[in-house]
Amino acid sequence: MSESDGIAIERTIAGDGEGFRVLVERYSQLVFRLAYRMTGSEADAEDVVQETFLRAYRAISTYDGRAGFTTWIYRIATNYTLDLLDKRRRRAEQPPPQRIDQEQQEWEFPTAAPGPDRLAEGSQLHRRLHLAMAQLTPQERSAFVLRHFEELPIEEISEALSLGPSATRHSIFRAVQKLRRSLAPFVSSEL
Amino acid sequence: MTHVTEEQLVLYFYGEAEETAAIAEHLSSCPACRADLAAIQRTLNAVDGMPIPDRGPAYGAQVWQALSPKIKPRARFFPVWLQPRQLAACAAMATLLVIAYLAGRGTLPGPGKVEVAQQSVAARDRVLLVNVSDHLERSKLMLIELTNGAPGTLYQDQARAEDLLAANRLYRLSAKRNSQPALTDLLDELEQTLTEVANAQPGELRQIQSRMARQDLLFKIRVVDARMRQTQRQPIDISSN
Repeated sequence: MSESDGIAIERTIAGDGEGFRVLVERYSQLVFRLAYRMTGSEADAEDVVQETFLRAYRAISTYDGRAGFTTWIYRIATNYTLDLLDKRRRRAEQPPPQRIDQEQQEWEFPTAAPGPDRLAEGSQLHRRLHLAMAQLTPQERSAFVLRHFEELPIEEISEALSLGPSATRHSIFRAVQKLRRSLAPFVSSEL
Repeated sequence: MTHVTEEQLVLYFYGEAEETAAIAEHLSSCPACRADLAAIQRTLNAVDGMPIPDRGPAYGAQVWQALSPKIKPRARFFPVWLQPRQLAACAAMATLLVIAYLAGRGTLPGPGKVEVAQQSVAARDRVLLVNVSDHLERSKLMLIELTNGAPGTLYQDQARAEDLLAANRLYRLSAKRNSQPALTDLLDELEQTLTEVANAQPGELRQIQSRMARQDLLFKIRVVDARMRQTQRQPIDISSN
């Protein structure tokens, strides 16, 4: 019998760890995908998955069912990822990313840039995509990932990011605009 | 219509534009805007090709394995020696007595009648909220154990279901009298399940478990209970009565 999220949540709150196991096993891939797209790093995405579920477990008694469990877990994952990226950016204390059409600075992105393992392999398009995503601000990247890949409606993205609907729409637009600029020459020649 | 802006096109692509019909109409007659939309689509199609490392089907289990040692078991709401059995019906009766008393105060004649009546209504509602909330908590715990139980343990849940059933009827009638339709409906649904559990044969346990999963009764209880607890935390405002 496939247990519903509702029952798994109730079991967790009642002290039954097996209830939480159901949620972890059901949503781990989803959180990993989201985190990887936001950070561009497998190690960071793994960290986000672990921390997201730890936070979810501690806060599960506050889950009131107004938003779907997916939205709730996305919100926790997104908030943690944004904190992670913010801390890393401050620690790096580097200037904002430069335009990628300046060839000499092409691989120098201080925040959420793919690790050396990802840069060493994969097609040029994939490398470009990672770099283009790294050009987005964390808020733009989160809004874009939630809309484009996870296909959440604006209302749920607003809820997950604690943003107004207009700001959410604008973040998605800015993300697409930046991606277009970054990828335009490459996309037109590739496709 | 003038040309569609880039922002409108992006939102249109995602089905989030405000003037969808007008944009569609403009696109049908404007090659420049259509070309712009196609360029956006090309970019976003390329973004779809961003690879994600495959974690494999066992990933969830691996995450749980790493996570479970870090998770402390949550404390249960009731110790074993304080099971809800016997307490439920007594609590319901006590609640109704208090409610009856408060309702009686509200009908006293005299110069302070209106204020007393307002306070009584608010206090009566609060008493009902607190006690129904406890009742829902006890029911929820019983249903959780029932969900995970084996046929051999059904008789334990049946005894508790009988006790909860008696209290549930009283609370349902009270909620109906107080014009609380959502709570009345929930208690009605809960009563059906409690009745089934109380009268079930061991072979029917799986059937009850499946039906509970389909109806998501536990989740409904939790949502109503959470709202009730939130209401309890708000101060009594007699001006709103």
